[in-house]
Amino acid sequence: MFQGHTGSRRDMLRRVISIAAVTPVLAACDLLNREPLPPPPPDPLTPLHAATVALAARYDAAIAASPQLAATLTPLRDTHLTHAKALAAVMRPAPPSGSPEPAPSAQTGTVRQAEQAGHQEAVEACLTAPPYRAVLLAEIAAARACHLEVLPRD
Amino acid sequence: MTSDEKGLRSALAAEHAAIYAYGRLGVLLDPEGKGEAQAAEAVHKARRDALVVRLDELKASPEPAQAGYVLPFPVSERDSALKLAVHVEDGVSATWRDAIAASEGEDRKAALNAYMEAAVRATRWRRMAGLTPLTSAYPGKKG
Repeated sequence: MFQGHTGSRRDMLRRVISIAAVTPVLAACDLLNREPLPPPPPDPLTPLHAATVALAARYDAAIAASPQLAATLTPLRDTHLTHAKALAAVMRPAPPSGSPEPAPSAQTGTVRQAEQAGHQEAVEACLTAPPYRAVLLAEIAAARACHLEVLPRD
Repeated sequence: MTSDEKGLRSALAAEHAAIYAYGRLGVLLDPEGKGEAQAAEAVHKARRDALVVRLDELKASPEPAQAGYVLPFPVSERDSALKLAVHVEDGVSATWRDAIAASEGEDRKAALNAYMEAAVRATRWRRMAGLTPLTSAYPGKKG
């Protein structure tokens, strides 16, 4: 063991020298002192996605509070979950997994008010979206308009 | 012809057909349904007129309505009349949905509003007809 240690000292020294010799070259190539890339900016659909997840959660709470409305509310909740998945599938970068912060629009008031706010958000997103995203956002806006048609009036 | 114009021309054809269908089905409904049908027909006529103006602006020669349309199934009483109303609004919403991607600015806004309103009327007619499901995640999307 001691012998091995002594024997390797020369190797060690050689290694240190070789690293020292190589380092300026690497530095010149900008390989070692490059800053990590900044994270990409969040996708413009991030707020709508977060609000959609929150809207589905708002329905969950309403179904728990009023089980007699489950037959009406459950398919609408499922549609919001479907939309959240569809939005996540087109977002770059993908939204962070786990529950996003609940959107203020879905925190207070009735399900109907939350749906109304969510509808308006989808309309605005559609009107400013590039063509390849406009149809999905229009579908979300239209589905929410239909939800308002079937939800009980406040 | 641009794809925006193509979308608007298809929408005009759908609005013409809708106006014809409401003329046939409205008389078969109960008073509540009749009121809905009259309101819907008025909206389709307003959309038609706006489309004719817009297509003229774009020099895209709007097509007039056909003299008659073949209904997709016989319509002789309330149930089939309601079913036709659902069919018409599903068709109109699908056509406006198709017009959205190629449109921008005010045309996109008009297409989105027409799409949403037709989808809502289809939902309302489904409820009156007792058809389920009332809503779908992607209104007017075929398949």
